[in-house]
Amino acid sequence: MITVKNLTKVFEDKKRGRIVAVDNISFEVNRGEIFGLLGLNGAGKTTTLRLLATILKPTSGTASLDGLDVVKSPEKAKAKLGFLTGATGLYARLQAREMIRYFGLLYGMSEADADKRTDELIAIFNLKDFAAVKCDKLSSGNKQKVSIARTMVHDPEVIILDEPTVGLDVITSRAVVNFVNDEKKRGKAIIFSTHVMHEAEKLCDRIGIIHYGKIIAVGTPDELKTITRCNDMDDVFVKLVEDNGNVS
Amino acid sequence: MFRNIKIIYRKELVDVIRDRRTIISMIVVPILIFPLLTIGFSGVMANLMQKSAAEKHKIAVINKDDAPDLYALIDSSSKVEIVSTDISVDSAKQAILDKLIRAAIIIPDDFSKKLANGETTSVQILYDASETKSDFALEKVKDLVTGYKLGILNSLLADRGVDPSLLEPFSVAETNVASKEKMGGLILSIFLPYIIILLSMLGAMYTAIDLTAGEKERGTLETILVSPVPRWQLATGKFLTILTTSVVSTSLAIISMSATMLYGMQSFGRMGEDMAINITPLMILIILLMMIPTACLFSALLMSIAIFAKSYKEAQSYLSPLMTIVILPALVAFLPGVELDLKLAFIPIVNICLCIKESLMGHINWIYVAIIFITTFIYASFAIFVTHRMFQKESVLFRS
Ligand SMILES: Nc1ncnc2c1ncn2[C@@H]1O[C@H](COP(=O)(O)OP(=O)(O)OP(=O)(O)O)[C@@H](O)[C@H]1O
Ligand SMILES: [Mg+2]
Repeated sequence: MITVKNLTKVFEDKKRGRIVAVDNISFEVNRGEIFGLLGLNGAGKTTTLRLLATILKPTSGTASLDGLDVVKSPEKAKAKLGFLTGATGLYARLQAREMIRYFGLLYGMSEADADKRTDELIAIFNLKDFAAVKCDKLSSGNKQKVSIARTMVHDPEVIILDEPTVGLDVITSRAVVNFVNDEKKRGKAIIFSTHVMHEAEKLCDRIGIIHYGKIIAVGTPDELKTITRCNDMDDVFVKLVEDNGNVS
Repeated sequence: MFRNIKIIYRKELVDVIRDRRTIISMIVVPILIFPLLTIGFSGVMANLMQKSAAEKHKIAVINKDDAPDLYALIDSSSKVEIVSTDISVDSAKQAILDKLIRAAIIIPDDFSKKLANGETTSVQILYDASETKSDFALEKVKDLVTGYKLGILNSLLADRGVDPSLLEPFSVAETNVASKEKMGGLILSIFLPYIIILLSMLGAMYTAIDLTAGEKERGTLETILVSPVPRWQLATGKFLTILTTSVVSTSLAIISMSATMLYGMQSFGRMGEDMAINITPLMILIILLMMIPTACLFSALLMSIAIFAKSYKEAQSYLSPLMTIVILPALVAFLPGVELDLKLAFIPIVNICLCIKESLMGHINWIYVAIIFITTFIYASFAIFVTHRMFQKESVLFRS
């Protein structure tokens, strides 16, 4: 389970000055729940998720993954986390299988366990024919599959996926969505950020709308529809953002 | 802890070896540079010297009719070729500048008559000191004229019943006491440390960029930072990989250098043999003692700078000036008369360069070797510390 408490991140940028990318955010994600994080470009989604992954240190506030504080014990918290963003690339000169296995080892598996788990994931993601292909030679769909396999190599309790379906064809993105649903049924706490509102509506149990670094609304898709009195998820989003447009 | 470092090290090494650029800078360049340099350098030099000396230089003799004996002597010499006897002084000067002829002898009017009467007179030689070939021609012509002069002198003395040896009460003999090592060492011991230091840096450079800025560019830095491996272990694994490439390229350079000295130089005949250094196992030991801490220093330095860059290109633009800055002290070994002393022993790179230079020339001072070995390791530790700090800073890792 994920607990986010008063999380704030301020960047000191030379050109743009002080940027409050994440502004006092709090929310919770339970086991067996998919939480959608929605926002415009630059709203602060990726920064929030990076704070959770301990890649960045919060300016103030904190969060915990499966009870482990990301500020106090980052390494232990990370061991519970599977993290995938558009910025988490693959090692171009490693083969797909080497890539997955490498991360298995880094998560503390023995060589034998890492081998076994790698074979398992290659089977799950239908990557048999590509296992020995170097990552830079893979299609973007297969790259994304390898990335997700890498994310799942240690069967994490907490899963964070930043726009995992971007740039994928219908079949592949459906496979990703199905996989996320399966993990949810296995009791994982999942954060899923996306631009595609209908995908969020179908997949997410609850949705948080982030705007200028602040959470401006949280609720189930139906709750959000009721608040805004809109029927279409795109309209819900646009209405919420416009109502808060002057916040900055 | 060491398990993680080992896993990272092994993966980075595999990754880096699959890159053609690493193989070229780590293996191909260090192996080929010494044979190529010697072939290029010695070959061209030896060739030039021999050609110049052996060439039959074209000269002019002006007013030959007033010195038929001297003219006959020059004409019969195989070292010069008289191509003209009927040009003016001015056109002879121009011909030398135009490299049509290399020297000209001007015989004064009534040269033979004056000689016969015992009057003094002088022969003038025109040449161009800025031209090597003209210099050679001057030497040859001078030899001929001096020989002619001595001949006249001897016959004059003999006419008057004087022993010609009276002219030289004693002779001066020069003997070169430098051993062959020292002679060769002088030229090569200046070059070799410079090239070895350059190669140890070059060998590490691509790997350093690839493992830092390269990871940012390809977006794998974030992937690896998500893993539960502490950042200092990540930095250590990467540092060891970079160090490995540097040590491999330095070792290959030393092997290639020794082999070139042992087998390659003979092919240039006597001159090559004169220049070659007899590289002993002791010299190799000292070079290794000097280069291992240097490789640590370079690896950490390159890594801590390359991690700043966001891309391969940017990293290259940072490191190229560093390359010059670091190599500049290595040039100190080129300066004549600079010798290792207690002060210089503490200046990084300069001390390494001088120590290798002097040991190649056969001077081995173990106290300096120890001082330099230890101080370089201290500098390297500092650079490693800085590198680790860089890996903790999000302003460095996520520079926007
Ligand atoms: N390292 C950094 N230094 C300075 N500013 C940053 C840094 N990273 C992000 N920002 C700024 O913080 C704000 C939030 O960015 P973030 O990447 O979190 O947005 P996002 O919601 O993920 O957007 P997108 O939908 O485009 O991915 C932006 O204004 C961005 O420019
Ligand atoms: Mg983003």
